[in-house]
Amino acid sequence: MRQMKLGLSIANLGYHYAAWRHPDVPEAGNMQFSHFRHCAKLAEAGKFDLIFLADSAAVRDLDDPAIARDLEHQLVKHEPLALLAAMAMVTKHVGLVCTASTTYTEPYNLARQLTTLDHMSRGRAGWNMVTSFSRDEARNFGLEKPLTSDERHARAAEYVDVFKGLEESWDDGALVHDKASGIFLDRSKMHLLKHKGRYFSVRGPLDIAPGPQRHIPVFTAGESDNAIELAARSADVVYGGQPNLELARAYYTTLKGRLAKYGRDHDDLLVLPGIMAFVGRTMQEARDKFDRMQRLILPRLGLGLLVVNGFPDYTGYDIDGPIPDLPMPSTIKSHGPSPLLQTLRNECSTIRELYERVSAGFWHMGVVGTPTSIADLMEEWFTTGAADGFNVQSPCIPVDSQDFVDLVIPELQRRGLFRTEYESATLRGSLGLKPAAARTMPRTRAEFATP
Amino acid sequence: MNRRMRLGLSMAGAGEGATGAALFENILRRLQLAESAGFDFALFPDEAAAAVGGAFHAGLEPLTLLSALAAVTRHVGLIATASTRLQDPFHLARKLASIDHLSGGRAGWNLATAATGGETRNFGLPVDEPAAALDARAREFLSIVRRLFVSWDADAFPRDLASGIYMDRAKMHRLEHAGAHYKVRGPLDVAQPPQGEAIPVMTSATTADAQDFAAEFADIVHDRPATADAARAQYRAVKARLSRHGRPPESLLMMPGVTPLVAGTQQRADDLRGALYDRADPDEGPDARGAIVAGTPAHIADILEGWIASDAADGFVVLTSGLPGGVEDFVALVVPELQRRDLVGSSYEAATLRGYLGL
Ligand SMILES: Cc1cc2nc3c(=O)[nH]c(=O)nc-3n(C[C@H](O)[C@H](O)[C@H](O)COP(=O)(O)O)c2cc1C
Repeated sequence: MRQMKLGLSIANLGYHYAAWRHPDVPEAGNMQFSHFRHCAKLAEAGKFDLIFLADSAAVRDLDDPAIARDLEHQLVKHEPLALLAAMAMVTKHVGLVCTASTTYTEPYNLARQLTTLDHMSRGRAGWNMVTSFSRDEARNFGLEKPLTSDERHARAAEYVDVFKGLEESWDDGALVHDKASGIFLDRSKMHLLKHKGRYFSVRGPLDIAPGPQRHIPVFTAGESDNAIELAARSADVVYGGQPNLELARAYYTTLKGRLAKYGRDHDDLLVLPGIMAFVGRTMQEARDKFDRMQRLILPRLGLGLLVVNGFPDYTGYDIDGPIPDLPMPSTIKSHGPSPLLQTLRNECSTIRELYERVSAGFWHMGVVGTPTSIADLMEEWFTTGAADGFNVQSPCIPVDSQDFVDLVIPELQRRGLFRTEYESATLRGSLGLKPAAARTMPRTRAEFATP
Repeated sequence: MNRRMRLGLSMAGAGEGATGAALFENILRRLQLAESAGFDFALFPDEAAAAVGGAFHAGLEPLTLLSALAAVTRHVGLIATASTRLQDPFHLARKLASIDHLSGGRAGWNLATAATGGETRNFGLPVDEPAAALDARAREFLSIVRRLFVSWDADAFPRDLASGIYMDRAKMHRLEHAGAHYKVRGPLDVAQPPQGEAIPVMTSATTADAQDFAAEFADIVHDRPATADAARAQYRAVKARLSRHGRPPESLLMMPGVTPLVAGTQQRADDLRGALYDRADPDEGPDARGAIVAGTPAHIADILEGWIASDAADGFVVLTSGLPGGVEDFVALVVPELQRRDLVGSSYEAATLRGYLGL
């Protein structure tokens, strides 16, 4: 029976804007390894496929005075690869997926780093490939503004090919290390990449033995046409951001529909939408939890989070009064053109209602419910062509992750929708991806010649 | 009064020919041994290229490796090699700051300024860049990294549950750096690391330019002079330059590499020395081993003590690559002798790498 794949996205203290004010959230936990050790062990206790660390190499949105960053907790954090390497030491089974930018890193560095993580974790590394859309990141790396989406994705396509090429530097058995004969390597099993393209010039070979997975699973996200094309071409898993079943199905169908063009099968690419769940044993308990968090959003924080999410600045208006008729942007940087903003605005009658709706998981599946109702919803998405699994975005970490593990996962397991034991030692294995043999990419390698 | 002798252990050769997870286990075992013996730090060498012409050793990438090791050690300092030619300042600052947090203040950076031939080919870089250009780049890079570390004051996050104030904007510092090689706006997205701006920096300083660089910026200088005289000359040259930058002599530690050959008798030690030359690795440069110090534990301690007393060194980076019984013998036999002489401590007496080094 087909089973769901589940990621736990450990966004420091949680996805809710006021998470840090929850009494059971360690408010300084974003820099404390003890917090992440706890979360990592929790993910493993819940039999999650993977821990996911999103990233941007900047503290975003500090310039706009309308955005109350001083009231928020998502400011400073660990560099994700460093944190995942440390988490590898306190776990045995769970995958470790690291976000890294193709725009601001070098493929040789990243291939070394992720292959090192793959070795140290014995086959549990994953790479979330992003192109870094934000201006704040651009300005930490010598640019005034980000490159265009086209340019970023052209570079990303070449980057991921170089990355995968470096993963094939050595056939199995190439590194002999025979002390008696003094022979270190079998040159006939070594492959120099000799890549010269528009963006990169990389000779190879990688100076690290092939990782246990040979090819590290590649994740990505994004709704732009460029992002979808790159995903269909080169990714194994897509992290989706759709708030309802209809949009999720459409996204799923689009992605899977593009695979054939690249000679890939339907199951070669998994789609995991985000889910932000407030879980209670009863509906009343779930509601109470949710309301308590919403009450912790100070109005200035609420007004700012609307701006971050693409809405106009309503500062100066009565937050409990009607939503003023200011021009609505149709595009948001992180998601591209979106009709969702206007729809949501029309559904809400006050500014407060609007920001509370946004903070409840507006870009993703935001749910308040019991284990049964949440499992029902997940099952529906999973069985009707909207999802192959989910990336769990807990509102407050670790408390809501704990509740998900204690309440929702057993319900999914009871229905046979999720594993009760790890069936594989590697992330590729857990995800059920085809094993990656060495020298499997002649097509991509031929492309290297034509920049 | 005895001057305290600082001790680092080079991790070169720690893998003993293993690859992958087995290599990691070997490295961890060596590191735990270093920690049990009270070494101030372990030094992780690096080259981002495979030396396929000779004795290629498949490695692990040091920054990722150190991040993991930080989680499974408690005391020993962890110094990663990273080249300013191959890294980006914002990324490197994040990684070092993170490792410093994960380790509770034990991170250090062995700063290389150049790229080797193999590295230039993996990064699409020009070969034979003039030293002056590499030096200028390194200066700018380092000053960016250090300022990024203190993007946030230590008390920038009041996290006041009652008022809902998490961060104090007045305690955030943007860099707004625009120089010849880099433009970096900041702030860093990592809180100020435990060692603050002053995560220890190690460099090599054999040329006059490199000595100027070290005297201005470095906390540790590590090279491999073959004799005590050569070490003394370098010691004098670097320390003399410190005053130009308003730094006292003890603000920079000279820590040359030495290869100890420990034996029960002097005769046996001399045999080992011969065997060592026979096993020489064709990839090794002429001073890969630094001074070779062969003898009984007491004799080795005499020599090391002599170097300290005669201003040839403030401490040593112990090199044991390819030595039979290398680290184990040094730890079991020489370290206790150094402790008995009160040249090194028997426990970690400070909380951070800077603290161990007395900086
Ligand atoms: C669910 C989801 C998660 C994302 N996570 C990240 C992330 O962690 N880091 C990042 O830089 N971008 C992230 N993005 C942004 C996308 O990678 C992409 O840049 C964005 O959709 C804009 O499209 P464009 O790159 O074509 O401009 C995410 C997008 C979505 C929809």
